[in-house]
Amino acid sequence: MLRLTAFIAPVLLSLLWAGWLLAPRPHTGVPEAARALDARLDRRAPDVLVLGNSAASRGIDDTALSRLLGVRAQTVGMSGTLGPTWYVILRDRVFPRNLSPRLVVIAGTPPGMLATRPSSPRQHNLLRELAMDDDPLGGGLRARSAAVRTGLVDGLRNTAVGLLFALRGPGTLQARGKARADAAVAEVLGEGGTAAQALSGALQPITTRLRPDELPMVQGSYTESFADDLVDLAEDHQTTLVFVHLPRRGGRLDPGSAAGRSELVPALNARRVPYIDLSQHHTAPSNFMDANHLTTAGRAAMTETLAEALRPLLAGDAGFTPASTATATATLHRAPAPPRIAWTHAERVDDCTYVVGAPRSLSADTLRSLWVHTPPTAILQDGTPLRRTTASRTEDAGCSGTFDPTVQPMIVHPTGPDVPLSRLRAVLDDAIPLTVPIDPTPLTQYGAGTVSGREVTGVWVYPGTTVQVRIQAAIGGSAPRVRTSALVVSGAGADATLQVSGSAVPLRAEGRLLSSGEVPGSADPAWTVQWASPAGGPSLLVRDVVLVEDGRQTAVVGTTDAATAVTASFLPSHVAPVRVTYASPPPALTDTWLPLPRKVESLAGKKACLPVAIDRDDTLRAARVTRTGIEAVAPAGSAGTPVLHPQRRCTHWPAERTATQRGAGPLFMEPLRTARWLLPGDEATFTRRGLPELHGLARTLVLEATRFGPPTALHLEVRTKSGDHRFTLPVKEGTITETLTLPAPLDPVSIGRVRIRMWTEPDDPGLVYVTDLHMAEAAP
Amino acid sequence: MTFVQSEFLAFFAVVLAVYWALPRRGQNWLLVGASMVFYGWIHPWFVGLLLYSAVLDYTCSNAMARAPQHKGWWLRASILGNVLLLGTFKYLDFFIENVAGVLQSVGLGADVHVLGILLPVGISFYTFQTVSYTVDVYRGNIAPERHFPTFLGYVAFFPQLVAGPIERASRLLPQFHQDRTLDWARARSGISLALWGATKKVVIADTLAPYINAIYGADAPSNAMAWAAALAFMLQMLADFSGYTDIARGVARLLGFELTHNFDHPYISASPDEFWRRWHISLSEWLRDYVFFPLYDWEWGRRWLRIPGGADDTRSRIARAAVFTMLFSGLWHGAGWNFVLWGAFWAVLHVIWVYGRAWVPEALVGRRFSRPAAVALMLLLNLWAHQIFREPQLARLPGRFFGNPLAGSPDEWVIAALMFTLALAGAALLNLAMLFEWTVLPRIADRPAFLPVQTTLWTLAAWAILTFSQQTQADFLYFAF
Repeated sequence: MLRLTAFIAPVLLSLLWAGWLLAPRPHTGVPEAARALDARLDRRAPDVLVLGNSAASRGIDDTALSRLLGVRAQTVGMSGTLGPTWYVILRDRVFPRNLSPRLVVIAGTPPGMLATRPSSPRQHNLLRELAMDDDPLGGGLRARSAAVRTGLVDGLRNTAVGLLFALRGPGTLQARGKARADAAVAEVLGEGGTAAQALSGALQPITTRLRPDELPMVQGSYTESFADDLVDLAEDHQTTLVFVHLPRRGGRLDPGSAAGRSELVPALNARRVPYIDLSQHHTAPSNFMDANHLTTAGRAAMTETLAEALRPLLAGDAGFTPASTATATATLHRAPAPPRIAWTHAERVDDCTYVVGAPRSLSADTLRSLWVHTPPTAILQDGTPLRRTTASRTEDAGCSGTFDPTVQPMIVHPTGPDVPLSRLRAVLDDAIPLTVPIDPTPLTQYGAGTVSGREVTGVWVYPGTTVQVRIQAAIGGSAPRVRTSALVVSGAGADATLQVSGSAVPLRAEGRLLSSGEVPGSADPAWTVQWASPAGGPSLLVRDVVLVEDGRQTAVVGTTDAATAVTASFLPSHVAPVRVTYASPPPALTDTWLPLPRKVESLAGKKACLPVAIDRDDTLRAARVTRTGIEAVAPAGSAGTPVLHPQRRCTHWPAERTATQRGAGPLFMEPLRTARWLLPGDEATFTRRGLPELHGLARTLVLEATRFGPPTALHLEVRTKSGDHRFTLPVKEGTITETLTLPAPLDPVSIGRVRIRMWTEPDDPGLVYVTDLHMAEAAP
Repeated sequence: MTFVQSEFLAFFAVVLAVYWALPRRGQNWLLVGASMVFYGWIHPWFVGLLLYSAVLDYTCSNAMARAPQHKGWWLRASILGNVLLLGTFKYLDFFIENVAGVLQSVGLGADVHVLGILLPVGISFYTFQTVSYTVDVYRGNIAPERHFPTFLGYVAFFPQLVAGPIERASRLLPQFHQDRTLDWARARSGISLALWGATKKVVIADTLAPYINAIYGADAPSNAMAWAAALAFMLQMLADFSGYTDIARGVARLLGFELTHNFDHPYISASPDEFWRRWHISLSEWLRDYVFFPLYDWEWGRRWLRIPGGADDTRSRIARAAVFTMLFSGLWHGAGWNFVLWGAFWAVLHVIWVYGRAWVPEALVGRRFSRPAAVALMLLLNLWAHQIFREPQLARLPGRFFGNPLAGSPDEWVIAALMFTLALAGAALLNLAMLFEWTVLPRIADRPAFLPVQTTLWTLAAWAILTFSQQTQADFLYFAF
C-alpha cells in the first residue's frame, strides 16, 4: 500500500501541477499597460496606426503626420518592443476593439521585425500584459513555468518593497511595490535592470566564453518570426500593412540589419506587402540624439518623408511595387581570417560603449622599437569591421558602429545596444604589414621630433582616413610655423596629402619619410594640421607636428624630454584638467553658445546643473560648472570649447528644492527627481500616476522656472483622461512664477495618469530652467 | 554540459543504464569513457590537459615504486609538472599583467602581451587531486596504481571532476577495485541528494545571481546595496557550491561510489577554524595535510619568520602556517588580487583567533548565549570575507569597509531592500531544510511511511527545478576557480 502511495502521490501531484500550469487562463482584469494603451487608441481611433518601439515614437510625429496626410494618425511606440509585441498589440488591442485603421505601419529595423521573442524577460512580461487571450510565444510548460517563477520572485520583491517603501497610496500593496521597485531598478541599475550582467572574465558562463557565436539571438527567419503572422492578421481584417525601415546612426554598418533585410524583403515581396526603406534617409549625425533616436529636426524631416511615402498607399491608387532586395551597404574591408588579438583590458561603459586595450606589444612586433599609441588593429563585430574614427565621442556616442584607435585604451561603439563583448573581436589589420624593414639605428634618421629617452610616439593614418590636429594658438602671439613628418608604412607615399590651415602643403619624400619642412601656420586662434590618405592610399605613421614660434620650438605635439608644453595633443599620454574660464565680459565662444548671464552663474553656485560639455577636437567631454568656469578632464595640453550638451538635460535636484521641501508638499516632479532644462527646440514631458499628495481637488498648476534668452511663449499642456488643457505663457528673461488655474478641477484619486508637456517656440534660441512644477488645491 | 542541464540528464541516463549491465572492469572502462565525453563536451582540448595531468602523475608515482632511491626527484618532477600546468593556464596572464604594471609604475615602458588564456574548468581540482596522490605515494601512505585506466578513472571521475570534492586516492581508488552494488536504499538517498543539490542551485543560487551581478556591475553601488548583495552572495555561494557537491555525491552514489561530505552547515560555525572544518571540507583537509602541516614544521620559517621578540612556540608556528595556508588558499581560488586579499583576511582572522582566544574571559565560555553570539560574529566576518571575494574592483573596498554602511539614496535603499528580501527568502529555505534534516528526518527516515513522503518531496523538488530553471542556465560558481 505504501509503495502504491509512493507511486501515486507524485503522479497525482505532477498531474495537478501540470494541469494547473497548462489550463487556459483568461485575464481576470485588464492590466495597467493594456488599459493605458486601450485608452490611447480609443481616444484617437486612428486611420493610420504606426507601431514600433522608441525609435518610432521619437522618429515619427503623429500630429505632423496627421496634418500632412489629412487623416488621424497615431504612433504607438513602446520602448524596447519588437515584432512579437507589435503582433500582440494588433491582434488583441486594435482589431478586437473595432478599431479599423486603414493603414498599419510597422516601423523599425529588420532585426526587430524578424524577432522571434521579446528582448528581455521584462519585455516578455509587457507582452503578456498586452495579450488578451494568451501568450503567443507558446503557453508551453516552460513559458508558464517561467511566469510562475517570475510571479513568485517578483511577488516577494514587490510585497517587501511595498511594505517598506510604498505603504500608502492608490492600488494594491503589490502594485505600489512593483511601481517603486521598477522605478528604483531603472534608476539605479539602468534600463536593463536585472539583465545587466557584471560577469567578467572567468565568471562568465563557460558557454559564453567558449561559444560566443552560439549566444541566443532574438532575430530569426521570416517564418519563425511574427512578420508573417502580422501580414495574415492584416489580410484577415482587410487592412493595408506596411513595413518601414527606420534609419539608425551607423546602421549601414550593422551586419544584422543587412542580413535581416535580405531575409525580410523577398518574403514581403512574395506576399505583396510594401516595404519602405527609409534607412538611408536623414542619416546625418546631427539628426540623431543617439544611435537609434532622431532629434526634433530629424523627426520632422522623417515624418515628412514618411508622409510622402504613405500618401499613395492611403489613396489606394498605387500598384504594388516590390522593394529592392539589394542592400545598400558600404564597402567594408574584411580580412579573410585575421589573427585574433586578446584584449588586455575590456570594460563596458554603457550599452553602446566599451573601452578596450589592445596589447602594446603589437607595435613592438610591428615596428620594432617604435611604441605606437594606435596599434594596427581592426575591431570586428560578428566578423564585420567597425568604422575607424579618430573622433569618437567618449560620451553619448551611442551605437555608432565605430571605434577610436587613437586613444589607449580604445573606445568601441558597437552597432547596437547590448552587444556583448564576445561578439567583438580585435584583429590585426591586414592593411598594416606586420614586418616593416626599418633600420633602427639611428632612429633619428626619420626626423623623430617626438623621440623621448626610450620611445617614439606616432599616430596612424589609415587608408581612407584623415587625422586632424587642431592647434589652439596662444592669445596675442605671432603666427607660428609648423613642421610635421610621417612615415610611409605601406602603399605609395605619393598619394598622401597634408593641409595646414586648409591649404595644401607639398611634401618632401626622403625614402620612407614624408616631411613638410617648415611652413607658415595661421594667425587665427584655431587652425588645423591635417594628414590624409585616400582610400587605397598608403598607411602613414605621423611622427611629429612641431610648432615653431619666434624661431624657437614652443610647442611640440607628442611628448619629448625637452618640451612638454603642448597646445594640442592627439597623443593623450597624460591626463590633466582643462579649464575654460569666463573672460570678462563673457565671450560668445561660438554661434551656438549662449553667453552665460550672471543668473546662470548663481545657479551654478547653488549646485544646479548646466547642460554643457567641453568640445575638444570634436570629442565631447563631461564638464563641471563652477562659479568661475567650466572644468573637464582631458589630455594634457588640450584646448576645448564649451558647448551646449546635445543630450543632457540634467537630473540633479536643485538646491531650491531643499528650501521648499517642507512647506510645499510633494512636488509634481518629485518622482522624476529632476530639474529640467528646456533647450532650444526641446520638449519636456512630466508624467505621474495620480496625485496622492492632494487631499482635495487639484485646481491649479504651479510653475517655477528661470528664463535665459529673449522673450518667447512657453506652452504647457496638461493631459489627463478627463481632457487636455493648454496654456500659453509669454515669458521674458528672469524668474518665472506662475499659478495657472485649470479649467476643470481634477480628482486626485480617480484622475489616473497626469501628463504635462512643455515646450517653447520652435525657433526660440533661449533656455528655460524648470525648477518646480506641481498641482495645488487652490491658488495660494 | 553541467549537472543542471537537460543534456546531462540524457547522458547520465544512458551511462547509468549501461553501467549496471556491465562487470566491474567494464564499468571502470565505461566511467573513463563517460568522463572523457563529459569533460570534452565542454571543450575537446580540455581532455588533453586532463590526460597530461594523469600521465604525469601515473608515471612519477610508478617510477617512485621502481626506483625508491630517486623518489624525491620524481616527486619534484610531478609537482613541477603540475605547477607548470596550473601556472600556465591559471596564473600566467595574471603574472604578466602584474609584472607589466610594476615595470610601468617605475617608468619602464613594458611591452606586454597577455595571452588571454581560457581557464580550463576544474583544473585546480584535478591538479590538487593528482598532486595529493603523488605525495601520498611518496610518503608511503598508498601504493601506486599500476593499471592506468583505473588511475585515469580516479583522476577523471566525472561526478567530481570539475568542482570537487577533491578526493584522496586512499578513499576513491579502492572503490574502483571493489565490486559495486546498487540497492534501493542507496538509490533513494542518491536521488534525494542530487535533487536537493539541484534545487539549491537552480531555485536559490540562480534566482539570487542576476540581482547580485547587477549590483556589483553598477557604476557605483551604494554601501547599503553592496552589503545586501554580499549577504545574498553568501547564500548564493553556499547554495551553488554545496548544491554542486550534493549532486556530485548523489550521482556518484547511484554509480556505487561514495564521495567526501564537503559541507557541514558552515554558517553555524563559531570560530574561523571551525568554519574551515565545515566549508569546502575536502579542500580544507588538503590544505591542512599538504600545506599547513609541512609549514608548521618548516625549519626555514622557524628560523627566519619568527615574530621579533616572540617565542617559537606552538601558537606562533600555527599562526605562521595558517597565514601561508590561507594566502595559498586565496590564490587557489582565483588569479586576482581580491582572492589574495580574501586569503589574507582569513589569515588575519586565524592569527587573531590563535592568539586571542586565550584572552576570552572564562565567564563568557560555555554560557548559553556564547555560541549564538560567536556564530553571529562569524556570520558578520563571513559577510566581510564575501564582500572582498566578490568585489572585483579593489578600489571600492575601503569605502565599503570604512564608509557609512547605510549610505544610499532612497532608490538605492529600495534595491538594497529587495536584495535583502530575496537573500532572506533563500536563507529561510536553507534553514528549513536544515531543520528538516536535524529534527524530522532522523525520526521518520527508517519508517516505511517515509517512502511516499520521499517520493512526494522528489516530485516537489523536480517541479521546483523545472519552474525555476532558465533558458540560459548559469554555471556553477566554482567552475571559475
